[in-house]
Amino acid sequence: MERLQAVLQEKLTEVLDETFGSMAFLGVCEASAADCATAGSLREAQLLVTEPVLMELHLATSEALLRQMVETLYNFDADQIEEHLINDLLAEILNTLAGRLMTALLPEQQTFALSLPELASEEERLDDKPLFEAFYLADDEPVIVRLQASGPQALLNLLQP
Amino acid sequence: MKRIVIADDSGTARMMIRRCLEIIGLQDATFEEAENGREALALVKKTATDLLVSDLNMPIMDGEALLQWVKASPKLVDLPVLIITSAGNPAKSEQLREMGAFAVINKPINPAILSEVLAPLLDNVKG
Repeated sequence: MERLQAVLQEKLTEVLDETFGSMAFLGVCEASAADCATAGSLREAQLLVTEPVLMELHLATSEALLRQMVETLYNFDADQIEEHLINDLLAEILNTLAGRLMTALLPEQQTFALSLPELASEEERLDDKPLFEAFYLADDEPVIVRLQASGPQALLNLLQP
Repeated sequence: MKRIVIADDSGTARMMIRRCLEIIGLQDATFEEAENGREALALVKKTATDLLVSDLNMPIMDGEALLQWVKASPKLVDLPVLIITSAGNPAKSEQLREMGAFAVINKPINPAILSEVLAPLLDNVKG
């Protein structure tokens, strides 16, 4: 499983930086759990990878970062930002991230399928120790990715050589 | 004025796609948006459309089903369908092109790639 952890860390960092960079001109840097402890509220979204293996991917980030990104993307003032825009942006970031991650992990000829992203309620947040978690900062705001897989060995077997 | 339909369940994605299309010179096109494949199909059936841009992963009717419906319709078969998706990889992209997609682009989208992919169509859509 060490190889899986190492590959996930490497690929996730690449695609996260690419995704945030392309969508909102933000870079991300690796951080620690302590760096990501925040008094502000976090929003979390979840998505399932349904093929070729069953995985659950969660993305959590601060409401402050999401608001900042919405301001940039829509060229809105702060008071123009509605709740649904923040939630939709988080879902779309996760959707994009999941696709790029699976493309980076799997061989070219291996297709994959994703569920629609959803906001995670308090009960749905991954509290149990996930298979993999990674902490980042984007503009000093936390970005946390957690992954749970029903068959980690199956995922390991599918990875690009 | 030319007409473009954008289908994606994410408002953020629709906005980004539209912005990129405007940046590459389509700012004078008429844009219509759909949240799923069924809405998009209704829009392209109702009014002559020059380009359909669609996500794959959508509720109610996904992008693959939308593509199948469009390519199966004698009235719509020549409508260029551009798939913009997070779930594309070379194997999936090949499948979609064989089904009749004009091109497949991976998210996140950017104007440079869009311009290159749509170059053969741009003169026709700009009108």
